[in-house]
Amino acid sequence: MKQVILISLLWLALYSTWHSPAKAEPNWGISGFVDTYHAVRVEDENDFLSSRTRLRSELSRTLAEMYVYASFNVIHNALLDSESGIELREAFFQYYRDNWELKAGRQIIIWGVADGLRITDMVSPMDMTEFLARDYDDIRTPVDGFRGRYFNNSLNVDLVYLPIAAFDHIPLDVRNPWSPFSTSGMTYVDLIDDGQPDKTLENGEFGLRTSMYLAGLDMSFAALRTWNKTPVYVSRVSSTGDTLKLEARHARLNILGVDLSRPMGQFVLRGEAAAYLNELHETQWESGGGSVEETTYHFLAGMDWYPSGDWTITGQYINDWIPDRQPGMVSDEHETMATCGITLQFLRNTLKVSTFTYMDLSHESLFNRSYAEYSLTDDLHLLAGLDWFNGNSGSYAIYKNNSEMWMKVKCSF
Amino acid sequence: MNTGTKLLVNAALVLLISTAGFGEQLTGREIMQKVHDRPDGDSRYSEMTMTLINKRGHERERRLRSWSMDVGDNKLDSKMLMFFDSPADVEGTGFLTWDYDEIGKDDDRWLYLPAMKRTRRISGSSAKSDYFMGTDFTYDDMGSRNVDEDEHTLLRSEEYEGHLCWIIESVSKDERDIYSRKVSWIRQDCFVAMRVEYYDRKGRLHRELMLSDIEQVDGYWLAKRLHMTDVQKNHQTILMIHSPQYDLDLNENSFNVNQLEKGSL
Repeated sequence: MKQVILISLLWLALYSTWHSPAKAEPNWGISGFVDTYHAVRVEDENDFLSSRTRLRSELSRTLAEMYVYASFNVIHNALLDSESGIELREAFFQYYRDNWELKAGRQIIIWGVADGLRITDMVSPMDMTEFLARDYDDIRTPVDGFRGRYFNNSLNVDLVYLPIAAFDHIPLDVRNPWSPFSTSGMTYVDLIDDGQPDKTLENGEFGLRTSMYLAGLDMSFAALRTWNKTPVYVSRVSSTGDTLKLEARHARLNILGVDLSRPMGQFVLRGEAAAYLNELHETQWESGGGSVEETTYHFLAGMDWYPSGDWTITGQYINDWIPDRQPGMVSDEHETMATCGITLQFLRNTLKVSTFTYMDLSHESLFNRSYAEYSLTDDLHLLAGLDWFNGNSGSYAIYKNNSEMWMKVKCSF
Repeated sequence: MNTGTKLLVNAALVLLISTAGFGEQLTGREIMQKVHDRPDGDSRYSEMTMTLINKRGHERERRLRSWSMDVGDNKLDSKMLMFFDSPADVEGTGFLTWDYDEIGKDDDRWLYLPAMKRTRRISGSSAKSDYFMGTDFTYDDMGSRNVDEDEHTLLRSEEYEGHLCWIIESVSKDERDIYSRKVSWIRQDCFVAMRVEYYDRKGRLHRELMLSDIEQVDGYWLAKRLHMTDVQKNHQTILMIHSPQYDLDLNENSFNVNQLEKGSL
């Protein structure tokens, strides 16, 4: 109810300014879309894994040096009542001058050059309600805060401050097939402690990113004082034997990172590296089932190939390295992943075929999302796809029974 | 002198004066260089509508805004910002291009996708022969092409739709180009093309561009209507230029990634 009132007030405020005399010529934008998405499990009983319909509404107004933007979702989820409702996705105010700007409010902040992965991109958290089986931009969640930017021809300097730390949304309900605990064999999950820090001034997040855009080279340096966005869970089974009792642990995380992009003919080479200083890691049951802090280094090398004919082929290789790995840690000293993506557009860009695969090379599991998208009209798109999980261990294996076929209809306005 | 002799002398004088600027016959390359160098201001802005028409007559429309500016010592390079206003699913999508005149030097290009909230560096070379957003225009058609990327030959002069034109054949030197040669009808009074035929690698007519609504805006010649037809696939794109403006008070440094993400200049 609070959200409904908040969004109604926001619309009312924007609507009233729309009809008030303005000193400068206002420039209004109203847009959005309606989409409906339904996914059915490929195996076994062919039950629905997802069934939701959403209205996304976006309103913006430009007036001289000011820009105001708001977007919200009205969602009906036929399977998960907790996911139905109205949510304010973004609402921010932007003030800009010749060489600097300030953006304040609820916003999505994306850093880095990685595709579908996070190395330095640790400001906006992720919504893992349906794991990665959604469009990646739907998975990113907004943060409430401030972003100041100084810029010139080839340089951007971003300062980010989030008064209230923001964390990934992890589905815990074992009835949600995308919960990481859905295969635990438990009937219930009880989160004893969410582990999130107190909402105090000292627990905010701070970031600085300096980006250079030069002829033939883009490069960024980033420093971020944040928290581990995904908690480490310490668990035990209740005395009744049917409930998994969880304690989520969050800890301060300082990140230093660098990324670059370099075009070379038909190719664009991408690289990203970051040091996660004293990152919190999970330890195994046999070692007490707790957590330990160790510095981790993350490396990514990627390549995009743009051969003619509306093909785009991408590949990424990622290595996570814990030089001082302690015995009992769940993570290996080296963990490697790779991604591969191919997109092809046909029929004057009215038909797009795309496939993207995450491969956990250390544990030999994978997740592939492939789909075809047809533009019936410019504003009406039909999509059909397959999400395929495979492997016996690792990040994607726990969802190996969740391979699904899906369809989506999206109407933009 | 009798009247007949006077007329003959006057006719000779008119002919002499009219050809004085071209005392020597211009070559095909020189004509195309003059087309390339035709004054169009140091900077420019326009709003464009691109109407795509398929063989069944079904139409789709894209609306764009574009700013561009000549840069570099000799103003041969250019920088451009282009934004999509419609259709709704690509609204806010922007391209930033630093276009280099030097043959063999790849352009610098960035793409901003508002849904992803991220600017992405894209290849500056491979897209040239690709079609621009499903239209019949290639990225190369939309940009500025160095005259020496083709071998030009003046075929003849002829009157075309009431205007005296040079007919120039331009043979591509780059095998990656989608056309092997093109034939252009260049108006002799203003160095604006009225018609261009593009031939594929097998020598068959592939696309045909008809330019019309040719007029002066702020003293610069411009074709406001460009109608490209893919004669092989019977698909058409009509590009209309609205509200063109020239010699704007723009700063070269404004053609940057921040402006790309802002969606305007």
